[in-house]
Amino acid sequence: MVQFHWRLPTHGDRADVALPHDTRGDWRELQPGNVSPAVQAPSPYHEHLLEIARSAEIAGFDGALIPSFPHTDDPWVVAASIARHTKSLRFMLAFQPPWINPVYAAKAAATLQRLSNGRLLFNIITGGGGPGQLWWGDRIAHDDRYTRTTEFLDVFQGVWNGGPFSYDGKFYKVKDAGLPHPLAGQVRPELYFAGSSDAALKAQGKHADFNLTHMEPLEKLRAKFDRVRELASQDGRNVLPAIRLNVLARPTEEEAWAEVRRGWANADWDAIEAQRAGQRRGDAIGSPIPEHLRPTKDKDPRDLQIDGFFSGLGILGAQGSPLGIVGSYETAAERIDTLIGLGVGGLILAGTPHLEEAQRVGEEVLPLVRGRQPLRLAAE
Amino acid sequence: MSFEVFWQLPPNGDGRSADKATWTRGDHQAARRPQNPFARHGGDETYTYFDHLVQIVRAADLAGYDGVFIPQTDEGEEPLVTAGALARDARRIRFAPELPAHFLSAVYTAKIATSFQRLSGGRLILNLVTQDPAVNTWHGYDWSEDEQVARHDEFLTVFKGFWNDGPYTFEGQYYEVLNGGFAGPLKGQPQPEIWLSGTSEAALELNAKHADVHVVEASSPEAVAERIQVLDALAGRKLKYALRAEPTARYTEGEAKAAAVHARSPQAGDEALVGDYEQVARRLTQYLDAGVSTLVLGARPHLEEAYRTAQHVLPRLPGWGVAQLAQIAAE
Repeated sequence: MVQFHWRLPTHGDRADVALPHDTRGDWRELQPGNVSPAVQAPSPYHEHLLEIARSAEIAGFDGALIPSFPHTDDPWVVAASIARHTKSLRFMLAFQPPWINPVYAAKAAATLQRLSNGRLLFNIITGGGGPGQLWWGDRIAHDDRYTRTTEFLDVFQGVWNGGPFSYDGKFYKVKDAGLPHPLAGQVRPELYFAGSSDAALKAQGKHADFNLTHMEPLEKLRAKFDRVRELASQDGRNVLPAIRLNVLARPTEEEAWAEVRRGWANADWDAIEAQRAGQRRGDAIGSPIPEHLRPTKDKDPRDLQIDGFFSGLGILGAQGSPLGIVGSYETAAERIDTLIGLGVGGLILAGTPHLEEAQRVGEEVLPLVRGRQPLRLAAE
Repeated sequence: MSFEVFWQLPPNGDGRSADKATWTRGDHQAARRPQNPFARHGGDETYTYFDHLVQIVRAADLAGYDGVFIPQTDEGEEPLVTAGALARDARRIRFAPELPAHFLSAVYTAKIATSFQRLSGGRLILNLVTQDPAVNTWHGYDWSEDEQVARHDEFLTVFKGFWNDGPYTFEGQYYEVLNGGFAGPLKGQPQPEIWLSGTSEAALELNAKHADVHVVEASSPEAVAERIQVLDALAGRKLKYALRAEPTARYTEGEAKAAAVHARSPQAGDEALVGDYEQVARRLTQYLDAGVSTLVLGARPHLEEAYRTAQHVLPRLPGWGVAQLAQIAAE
């Protein structure tokens, strides 16, 4: 059964896609339009994140990704708080393994499982390298990072059900370790593993349940999914592809594209170019959008489509891949079914603003997705 | 200009249009439309419509509103119980559940209200309504509006006396109390502000005598100004005025008019509240200038529109957000 997750915008949000900058949260200078929601005591932006989590839960999502960036609140803390105020929503904690010792991470994860009745998942990120990685104080060669991630997960899994577990790796050495009662033996958190290089795909075969990738043109996805399956099967395991993408769905095609055009007209194109220049640093592979599909001010948004997916969502404040869905509710559901047809087993959807769009996508789009099983049968 | 803004809760279900047959939130319309089998706010044992109402209350709390107004509806949840269920989920805002006082014991209402004040930190408003005579018949009574208002008069006299002046004795046509009044921890809670409405002569006299706030429907700023003049003169004092309005605001007037066709309630009143954000803000400002000090706004779907209104319309009202900014700066 395909998992449907939403995303919690720990990086801030905006009231709608027509606005050229964020208006929710306190990452920008406060002014009357962004005093609310929830940046005044006693209701910090965190309260708004919780409200998004609840809307995702009530509208029918299985879980929600809690992203991690240098300027966001920490996902472990956000997850712990949200867990106590939701009922069934699973929370996917984005995490770079080296920041916490693996035995201690297992202990913290076990506590999260105990307090949430087993609703934790991980989005394991190995990191992009370059200045971005050094911000975190991490200087390590690209391929070594995946060795380290693998070792981290070896130890994490090794101690999860109790010990004694000993390990002698390049990065981690553990002797007679193991989670004690009653922490040991909790439901093991499923792992969404991010990474596209051969080193990444080899590393995930041993531990990952899902390979998580940002949306790309379908041809590239097919090739990547084949490699995911091939490399995972070397470890005798089955790793399912998973996709993150942004969705802008409206009752009609015209309404959806009208939103895009308004965002296009209001966008701060100079800031967008400056940000692009900054993103070209680092040694992660990726940037999968062909040059002719890169949005610029003078291009007609409707020309920026490949395989029925729109490549300009970054202009509208979307975080992650700029390639996503624009269209009617029916179109959005068809595109999601296309991805499910490629073998995708997990989807992390997002839309701006995240509260309102969680309601909309959950209520209007997901019921039209044919590859989805209902939570329960409709009332007889 | 200092004013408050309340948001309205939908106690009888919600959706993206005014047509009840399309409502997907809540189980009030379940007989008419099969529920979305994926969503979790129907009659599920784990998730109920109250989980959705909590979302709206939290939206109001987080987006800077001052309170929520919970109307009486035939098929909807009981407003006072609903307010009690939601009070702990919001930290700041006040609750104005509509109560048909003529069905309730004045003393017992004071008891309930005191408990609400204790659990919520004094955030209850006593918001009495006069009901459609047909609804009264449905409840087993055959009371005209005049008789409902006469009962409200005694109700409020007893409510205030019992609350503030114990030991309290009263003998009237409808209510009788001997040596009433709270003791122990229930004594001394802040008495709820009293909101009343109505348009008949009897109702206006009741307002003049008892109301802290008179609730008026949005017809036009001129009509509201006239009501204010008449009622203040009748009362011989300055009342506060709350305006119930259903704005339909979008980026452009064209979008607002298109949305109003399906999203706006048939009884929504003032058509000038359909427009672009600036137009709607200007119209609301006219009501504030006419003497209104509380805006009670509501639009479908109530969760999303609470945010839209707070982020696009309210910042265009003179003074909105400035007080909060000053408070943040002071912290």
